[in-house]
Amino acid sequence: MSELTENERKILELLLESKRPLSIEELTSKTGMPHSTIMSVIESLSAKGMVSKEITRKFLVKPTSEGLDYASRGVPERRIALQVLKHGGKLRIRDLGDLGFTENEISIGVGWIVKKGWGRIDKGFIVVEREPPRSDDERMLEELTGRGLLELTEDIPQVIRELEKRGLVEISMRTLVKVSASSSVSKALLKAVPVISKITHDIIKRGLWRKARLKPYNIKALPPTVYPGKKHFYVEFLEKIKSILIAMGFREIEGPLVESEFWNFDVLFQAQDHPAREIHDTFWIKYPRRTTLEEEAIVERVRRIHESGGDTGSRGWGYKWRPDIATRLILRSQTTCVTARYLSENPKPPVKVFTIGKVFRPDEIDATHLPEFQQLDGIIMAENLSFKHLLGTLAEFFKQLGIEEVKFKPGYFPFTEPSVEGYINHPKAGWVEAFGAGMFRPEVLASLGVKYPVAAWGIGIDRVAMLFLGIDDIRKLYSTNIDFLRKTLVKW
Amino acid sequence: MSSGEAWVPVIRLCRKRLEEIIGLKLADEEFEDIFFRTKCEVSPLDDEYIEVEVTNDRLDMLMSEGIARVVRGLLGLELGMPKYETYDSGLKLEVHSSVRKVRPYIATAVIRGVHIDEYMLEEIIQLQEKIHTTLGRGRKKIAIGIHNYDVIRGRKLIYKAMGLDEFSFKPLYETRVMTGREILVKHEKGREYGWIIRAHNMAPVIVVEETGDIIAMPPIINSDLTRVEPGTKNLFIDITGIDEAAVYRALDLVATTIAESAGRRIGRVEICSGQRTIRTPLLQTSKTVFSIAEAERVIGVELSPETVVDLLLRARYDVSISSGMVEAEAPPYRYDILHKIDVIEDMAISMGYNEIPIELPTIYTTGRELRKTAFLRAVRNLMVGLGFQEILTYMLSSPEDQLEFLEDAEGVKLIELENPVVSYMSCLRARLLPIALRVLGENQYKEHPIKIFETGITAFLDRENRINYTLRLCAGVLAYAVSLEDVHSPLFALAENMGWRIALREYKHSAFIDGRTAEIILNGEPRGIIGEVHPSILEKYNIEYPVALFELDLSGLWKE
Repeated sequence: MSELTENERKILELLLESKRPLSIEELTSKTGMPHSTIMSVIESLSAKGMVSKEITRKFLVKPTSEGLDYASRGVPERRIALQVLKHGGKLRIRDLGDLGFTENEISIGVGWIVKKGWGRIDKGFIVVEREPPRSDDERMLEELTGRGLLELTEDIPQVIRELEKRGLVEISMRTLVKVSASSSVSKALLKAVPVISKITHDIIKRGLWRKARLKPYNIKALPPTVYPGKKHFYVEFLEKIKSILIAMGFREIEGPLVESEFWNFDVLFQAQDHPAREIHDTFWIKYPRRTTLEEEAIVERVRRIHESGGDTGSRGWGYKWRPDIATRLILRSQTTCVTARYLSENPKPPVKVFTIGKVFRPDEIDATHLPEFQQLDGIIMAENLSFKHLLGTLAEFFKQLGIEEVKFKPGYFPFTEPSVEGYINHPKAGWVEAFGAGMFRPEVLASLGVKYPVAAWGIGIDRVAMLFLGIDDIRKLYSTNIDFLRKTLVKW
Repeated sequence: MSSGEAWVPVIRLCRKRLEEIIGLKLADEEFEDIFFRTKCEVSPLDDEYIEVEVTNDRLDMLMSEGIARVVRGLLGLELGMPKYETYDSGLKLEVHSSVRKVRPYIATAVIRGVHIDEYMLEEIIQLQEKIHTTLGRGRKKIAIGIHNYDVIRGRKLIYKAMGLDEFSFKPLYETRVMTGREILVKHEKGREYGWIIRAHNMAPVIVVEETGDIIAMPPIINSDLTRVEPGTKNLFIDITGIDEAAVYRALDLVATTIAESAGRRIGRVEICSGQRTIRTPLLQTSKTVFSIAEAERVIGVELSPETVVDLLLRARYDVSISSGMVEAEAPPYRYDILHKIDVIEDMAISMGYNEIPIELPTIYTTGRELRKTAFLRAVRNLMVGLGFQEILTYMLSSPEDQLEFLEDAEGVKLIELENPVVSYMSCLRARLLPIALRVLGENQYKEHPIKIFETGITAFLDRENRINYTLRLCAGVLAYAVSLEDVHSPLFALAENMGWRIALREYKHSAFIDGRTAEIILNGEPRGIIGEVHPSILEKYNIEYPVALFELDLSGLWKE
């Protein structure tokens, strides 16, 4: 008869008392032992033939957010098919975009219309002749969203596999282990002379260890897993970026997320009819729609500069500037508005500031796009500051990040001239576009009431982080999968 | 720094054709190098075609002819401003007063001897489309029509507005004649662009006086009569619009670019509008004056007059210098030059950005993080020490989730978006709690206990509809068995280490269990909530394990 450890004894006792098999979770809560300890004790008892395990698998099927969206609005193939029917059964595929379908929806939807045999493609047209019958996957999706969660104990049906492939449902597997004592185990066994595996205060104080054997550890076995409280890897990366800039003499600043178009666009000399200002490229606030512009002197300067260049020597945009466009409230689409505001309040040189914050654009969600992402903006204002100083500062910043080679390419931004796009040579990824920069245009400086040159740059820091952290999907920067976060290495 | 990027036009070109126009066959590496020095971004598509991203200021590069004009300058193959020879086309166009309210401005040109092949036709159509979406603001501001000149059998054209039922013609690529109204209602282009003129119940048309042929209904569609095809030799170009200066500049750009392949010869058309007669294209050059010292200050390098001349000639300007002052004359297609700074940028581009000796500025400043950043770091350090995993989530949230945790009494309204991309990201988060609960639910089958926290900005409207921002901390625990203590103790440990006075006060909240929830009083002020989430909410979120959470408003607990 083998010897029992304290923990083995405790668990056997519980199992003998209980009339039914117990789950690991029940054992965890009854003994207060960590999950991993219970598992190793059960393993050892089972090796000795003292307990038997009963293992069942359970599949949990849950709709993803995309699945929920499809269930409420209809799958794209159905929505497209219905639109096609509405337009007489035939529509040019590239016109679907005008009916409000995204490129993604069009490629998925048209593909499935053909796959499901609802219609066909004919020289760039999609043809659907009758209203398609409800397909199994639609029915299943509907049922799933109604119930929220589906539990399966057997194999997963094909229709759910298909939905999983389309990313509309997530399937997770749970293994349930239930344990019961073998019939050979009796209460008498528990009374045998103990072997001590864990030394306690009591054992030392009462000298019990003198009468017992101290069981050696199996040091080859893995220890129970513990997860430390950990900072988020991307927040830490942003902290590192901040510390580099601070070491280079920059001050951190911040600004509001909800901005007027005035500060987001007009101050930066972006024409009021520029396409980037339309509803497809900027998030508009539903309510309140407008704000009032307090900074009267700046507003007046901006108006004159847009209309005729004011006294900057510029031609301006040659239109009538409209305050009703400038007062519209939006989610900021870049963080240059933060540095611009700061300059208008601090027009005396030298100024070296930076800001890191969220910016927002109505982009479809995929591996490289999100409707919100982090941007880093920095500026230098000083007497006798030139374009070469801007290039030098950017090269130095990337050098601090471990990048030795930076290349500069002419670019265009409405608010800077000269403008430059920067490429960095990453050891793994090769040459990658990493930033936009330039000297603020005279029109912008005059709008802000600044009399000295300003060098400005902006970095889509999410992309740079992906590069440095070796992440291939932007969504992973914001992953809420606890296993992913637990396993991510700490960078220093 | 990317405000313009969303609207970058991308074109497709045949590389062989482009090289023929440049006049050089380039090795791949040379090809890449030279384009790296322009504002265009080039990537190969297949053996024959390349894709070119053109910036919004240099729409003169939307065609091989325009790109070659720039590249030939940079390579020193051709220097100075290209000169376009003009002649009288013999064509007249009368602008009728009826267009004044509908679409008042028009400018036209004739280009002979183009010899259009398939490739060039593709490029012309592309140029037209891209100018429509950029400079043309979706054809509203300006629109371009390009016609086969040889089928226009008359010497006089009339630009006028007609009632929608008063005219009809066969639209481009159609097989039947349609009335103006039919085109607006039934034709694809009419449906797409009809809104630009619909308000007037009239449509602008270009009519050949001698034959009565309607050759265009701007900005909607041309007539099939003047369709351009491979083999077409002579072109008639019309540009109409609502912004007079933009119409002239766009014609200068389009006509000079196409005329690159027609010996740089352009036929002018006499446009009579009431008492006024002009000849278009105007081919307006622009002169900019600045000192060498100004250019040196901007770029940061010393420049001899000889260098200045060389740089500007290669950027396709004509130049003269006297006693340190530069006069640079830009060709007619450079509508983008608003200020002398634009000319100075062209000098830097000629020089090559990577040839500029870079330098760090020598000004002295002290760097400093926001006090907020330091404060948050202290809070985050403690939370991590208490065993919580930090998470980072989106600021855009689901209004439904948010409202679950907002009690009417709080007087908080959500900031919602007019044009969300997806419903679960359609408002700014006002609270972190609902997000933390979702995250705990998503991870309920991972190894327990799940302990998470997040710090971040939230935004909402207060009772006076003012936008409020708060900085918040939220922490939560999910496990097989959870009690309030699992978050209560960490909260108090945090408060004690930060030096905050903390107490709990009885509170009721529909998302939490009565008697197991409390308001957090920090330094005498109510600043948050702590509690065990009500099982009915857990059920709604499909969570099978108990959850305890707290959320705390940290705003103003530090001073900048």
